[in-house]
Amino acid sequence: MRRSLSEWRRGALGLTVLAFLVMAGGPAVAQAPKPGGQANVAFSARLETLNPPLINTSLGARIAQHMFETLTTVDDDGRVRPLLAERWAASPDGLTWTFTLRRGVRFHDGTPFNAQAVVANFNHVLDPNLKYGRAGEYPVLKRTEAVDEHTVRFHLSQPWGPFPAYLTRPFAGAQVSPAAIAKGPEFLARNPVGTGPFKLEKFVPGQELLVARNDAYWGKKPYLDRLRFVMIPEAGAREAALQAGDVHLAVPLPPQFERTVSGNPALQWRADRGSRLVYVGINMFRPEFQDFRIRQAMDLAIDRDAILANFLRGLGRKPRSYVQSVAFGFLPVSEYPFDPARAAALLKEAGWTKGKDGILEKAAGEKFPQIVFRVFQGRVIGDLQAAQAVAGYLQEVGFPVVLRQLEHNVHFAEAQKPENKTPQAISQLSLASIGNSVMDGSHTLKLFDFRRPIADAAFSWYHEQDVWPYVDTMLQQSDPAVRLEAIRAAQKLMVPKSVWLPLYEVDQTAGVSKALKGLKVGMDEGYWLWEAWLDK
Amino acid sequence: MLPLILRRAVEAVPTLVLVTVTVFLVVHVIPGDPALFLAGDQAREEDVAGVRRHLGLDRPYHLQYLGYLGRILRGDLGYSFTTRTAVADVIAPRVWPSVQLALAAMTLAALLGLATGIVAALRPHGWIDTVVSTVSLLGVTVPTFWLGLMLMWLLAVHWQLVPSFGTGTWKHVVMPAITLGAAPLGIIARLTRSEMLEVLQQDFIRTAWAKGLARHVVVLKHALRNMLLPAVNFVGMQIGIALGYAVVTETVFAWPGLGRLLIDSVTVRDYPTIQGLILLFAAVFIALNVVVDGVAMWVDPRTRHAG
Repeated sequence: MRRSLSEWRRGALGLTVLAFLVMAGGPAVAQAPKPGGQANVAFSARLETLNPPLINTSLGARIAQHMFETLTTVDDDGRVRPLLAERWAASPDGLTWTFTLRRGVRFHDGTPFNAQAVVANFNHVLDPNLKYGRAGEYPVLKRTEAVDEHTVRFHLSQPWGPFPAYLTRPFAGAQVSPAAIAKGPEFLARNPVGTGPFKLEKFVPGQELLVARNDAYWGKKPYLDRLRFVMIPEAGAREAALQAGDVHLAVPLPPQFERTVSGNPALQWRADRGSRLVYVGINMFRPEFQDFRIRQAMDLAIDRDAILANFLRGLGRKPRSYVQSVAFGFLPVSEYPFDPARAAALLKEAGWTKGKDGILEKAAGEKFPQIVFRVFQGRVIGDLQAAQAVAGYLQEVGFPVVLRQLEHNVHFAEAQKPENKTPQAISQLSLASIGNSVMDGSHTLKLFDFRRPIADAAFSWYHEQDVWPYVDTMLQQSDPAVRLEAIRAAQKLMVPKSVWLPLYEVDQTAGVSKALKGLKVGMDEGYWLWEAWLDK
Repeated sequence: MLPLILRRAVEAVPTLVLVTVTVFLVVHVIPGDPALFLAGDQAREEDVAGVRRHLGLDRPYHLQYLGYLGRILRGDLGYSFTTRTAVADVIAPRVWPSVQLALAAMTLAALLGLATGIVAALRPHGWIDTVVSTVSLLGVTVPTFWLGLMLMWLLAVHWQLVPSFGTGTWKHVVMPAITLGAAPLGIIARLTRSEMLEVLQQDFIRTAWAKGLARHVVVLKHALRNMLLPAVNFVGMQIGIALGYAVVTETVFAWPGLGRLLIDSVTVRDYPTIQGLILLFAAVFIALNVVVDGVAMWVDPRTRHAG
């Protein structure tokens, strides 16, 4: 027993020493950032201009945000936080918002950032002569007023609760030097003058962007001397550049590269939670889709777990609602079970049974109208494969689905056609996706408000009025508790109606060199290198 | 030579006008709406309409075309829809990378193609001929995309001999030039072999051998010049194609050339840039035709009196 106790003591001593060594080794593991160096990033988006309201990809805008800043920023928990504005408040009637700006901030050209600069920026974006499409991001903004040097007031035509969240939008919300704005859009395309932690060194449109540390930055200065963003449209070439050590970050990389990237000890595979929801829109103007049982049968016929496992290699999440699970107000409403037997029962209840040819038909022999399922490829991970699987599942229960693959631009334009909003429209489903850059449930749910048709709403075709009061509340009220209630209530109303067929929430996947430390990944394709450093 | 150039310049005018009409019609007929794309996902109908008005797309087609033609005559290619900068400024930085790549690829293809074709023809059905035929067949049939990625893995990732992307040094050109030049190299090698075999059977070659001329004189001076014409024509046209349509190679290697710009512009329906590029390509093809004709006249005097 004594021997045994002695052994215990020795063991305990050993463990203590080991623990001490581990603790002593702790600081060595959490290394201190090393300043200097240049990080290279390969990315897929087309970046032809650096004039924020004309940048047309989310990834391109996020890259530009290394130079530009917005008045507010949004955390991954959906909370709006100060950036160039320190605080803000809405008037009791919700028609004016007053923002107090950060002091001591200068644009890269030395121009002071102040209330006049903010006014110049919003006047520029909303300038009727320039006709920026991005003006639509601030649909109720009437006028911007400089109250004093550091106070700016926004006058709205109607109350807008999530207004501070929309100021985070990197397209129309980016703050540009008024001196640069005065030189016109042609100058702005090549000369980005923001307040951000990096400033322009070289921009070759469609090829590369080189930015250098802004030593006069008002906030925490970056560790890296330079960042080079290289546009490599081909995913295989991006991965090869990463494997060759020519870039430190390749973004995005589709799931099929997970194995090769993980197999290289110098690299790391990253799959970060994203805010993009892939769904199928249903043309609710068609008589057959106005029957709730038909829509629910489609919902039940899709095996989302199988789609996630087979086409996304698990790099995504099964949806539980129409609001993205990372957004403010998300409420899990449905488990989205795969139940083809229940789907068949619902169809039978609606008068449709599978005929000899496997197509749904009514007792009188009437065939179910052919459904055109418009899809695209390459916009979101697994998009085409998932759509093909959905078509297969729907055919399995008897829907005569024909897949029509379109180029994304054509797909978008086809959905906007006014004839879609009539019962004479062709019977159609549309593959679509929606990100949530403002991390607010209203960003997605407003698509169901037929009074406020925006381009992204064209895949929904929902035109009932029952959701309007909730949308009004979530958009017009500024009290978070009231808004939360409205966002949740709208989900409880809409999800059981099966007006969308949500498929999956997709992760953001990338390959990273282990030498690159401190990379932060936001929910909406934001790969932030502000605090990154190179361990070399 | 000068009359030829002048004649071709005059002939080019109606061709270019026809090109403007065709391109204008094609870009406006293909589905997709540039205003929608530019306005963004949050745009309201009035925003999209505003963008459409700003771009002049709400005007009748004939007025749009006449406006476009008028600008072209003033030497103005218009403004890019996406960047709102002059189309000439969008295209100009892409010209040199494309020229560089096209010349490197075609030089490689022409020199290696001719050399291997001649060697194969001198020993028909021998092992060299078999190797040349097999390799040239591979060059023609292997997909450009696959070849580019394989080269990248071998030369940039495994051996790290050249950078995987970018421009600026000769090392950057190696992989794109091999990728782009592989197919024309194969064709030139096969073309040279068959032409050379035919020429070597001709009486004047037999006479040259009978005169006791050295082998290199017979092959390079007498035979080569007589079989060069098809290869010159082929290389001339291939330079034009490589300049404007090397889309796959440019995409794989992120090469900032004209082909990629064209595809990007088509994707976002940037009509002025598409029109400017096609007009440029048409002008380049016309100019190359003149050059090829000139070279043909120099290589084969018989063509000076033809047509």
